[in-house]
Amino acid sequence: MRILIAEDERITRRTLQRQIERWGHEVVATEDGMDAWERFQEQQFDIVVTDWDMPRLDGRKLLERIRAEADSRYVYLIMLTARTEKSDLVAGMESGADDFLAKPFDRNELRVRLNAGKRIIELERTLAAKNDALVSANTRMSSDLEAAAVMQQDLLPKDLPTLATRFAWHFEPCDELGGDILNVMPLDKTNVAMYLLDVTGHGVPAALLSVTLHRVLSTETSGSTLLTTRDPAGEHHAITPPRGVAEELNRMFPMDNLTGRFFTLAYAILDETTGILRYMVAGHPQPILARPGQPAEHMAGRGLPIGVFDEPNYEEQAVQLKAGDRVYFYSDGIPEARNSDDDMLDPAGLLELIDAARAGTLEDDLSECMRSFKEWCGSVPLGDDISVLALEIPS
Amino acid sequence: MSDALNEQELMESIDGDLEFLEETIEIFDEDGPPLLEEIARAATADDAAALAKSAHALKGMLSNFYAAPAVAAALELERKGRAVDLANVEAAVDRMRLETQRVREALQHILEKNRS
Repeated sequence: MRILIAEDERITRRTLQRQIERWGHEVVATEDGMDAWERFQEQQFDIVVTDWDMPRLDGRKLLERIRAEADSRYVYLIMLTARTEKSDLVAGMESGADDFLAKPFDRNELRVRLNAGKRIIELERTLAAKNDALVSANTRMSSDLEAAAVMQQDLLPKDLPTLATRFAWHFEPCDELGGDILNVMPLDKTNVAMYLLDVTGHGVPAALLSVTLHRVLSTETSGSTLLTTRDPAGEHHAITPPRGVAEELNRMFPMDNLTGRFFTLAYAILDETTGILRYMVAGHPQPILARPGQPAEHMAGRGLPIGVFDEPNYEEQAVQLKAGDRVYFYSDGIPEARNSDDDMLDPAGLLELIDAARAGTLEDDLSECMRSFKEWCGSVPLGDDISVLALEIPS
Repeated sequence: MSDALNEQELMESIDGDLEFLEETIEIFDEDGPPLLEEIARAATADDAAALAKSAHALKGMLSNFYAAPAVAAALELERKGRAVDLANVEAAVDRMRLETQRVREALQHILEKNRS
């Protein structure tokens, strides 16, 4: 242990120093409070033994300074004094003293008090080390999560300059990482595929599966034939219909019995030349269609979530879109959100929010819609990931 | 054995280390007389605060030698100073000198006895 002594009377100081050094401690002896304070700022000590009455800076002020020092290390403070008045002891304790020792000090008393201090210091050091390890682990995990969140955001659709159809999206995990994911991909010159999926749960476990699914549902992944099948020459390709995509995913991703994790999906293919949107909904909220001059309405289609049943018998839907039509795919985090009155937004509430924001561009209106949604939620934090993928047929 | 100090307690406190005792006596010889002079000056000058302070310091020094009579004399002076009541302070100062001298002699006796 490193022990700092502050004592202006030389014989007491030397006696203390000699005695404590004989017990194997490292001692720095100073002649008053100011001298001790300067040493304390330069070096680290485990225990400080200080006299009460000293020139320049007395023991009480020294203790107050040491306690005010914003150092996370605990220092055990022993006040050495001839004073025995209770009020003096109280004042000393209020200044931060852990213990007292009367002068002339008794060797055995000094030894047991130093040992008590040593136990406290070692306990505090152990706790501090564990706390440091926890902070370090937490910092590393937070950093990893932030990096993973950036990577997940990077999976979202980028600029789509070749597409005539307008797209807009909103993606907001309730934790750092989300179980929702969405994307828009041209399949060929006329067909564009889009999906929005929602892995049950949220956070890291859900995000791991959502990122895997993003890779599987990508046309950029070499060797992927889930969305399109090429002939051996690579010159022609066949587009897998939405129902086929859902059935294949159902086969590839049966529900994990250990975690009970599965996902819901809305997958669609828009033929930009005809305006026909083929889609299927697997356990997902029904998409919303907003035609110019008409109230937004839910589109037909229901189906079982992906991975839950062996023979889900998915049904594919089709709708003829016209200029100005908008379609919204969204995760259940929105209609199932609750506000401070514990009311659920419900699918009808979402229709109202969409209808209330239809005056501007698709992107601006979606931003306004999400702003209204947050306003409706009030101070209630998101309980689930929320995501929306919207398209508009140009006029 | 002198009653100026408790030799047994003193020797126990320093593990019978005569070399260290000599070291502390040297400090006592250096720091004790100036404190006594300051006590006498303060008493003469009716400087109660200085009297209390110097008597307190001397008391602390003497307590290391388990010198109860000298510590009592210093405590009396310290109390007079704190109470700003310097009545009969000269007699108390004389007693202080006497007891301090007796401590010094007792210490010398211990040194000589243990060396022989």
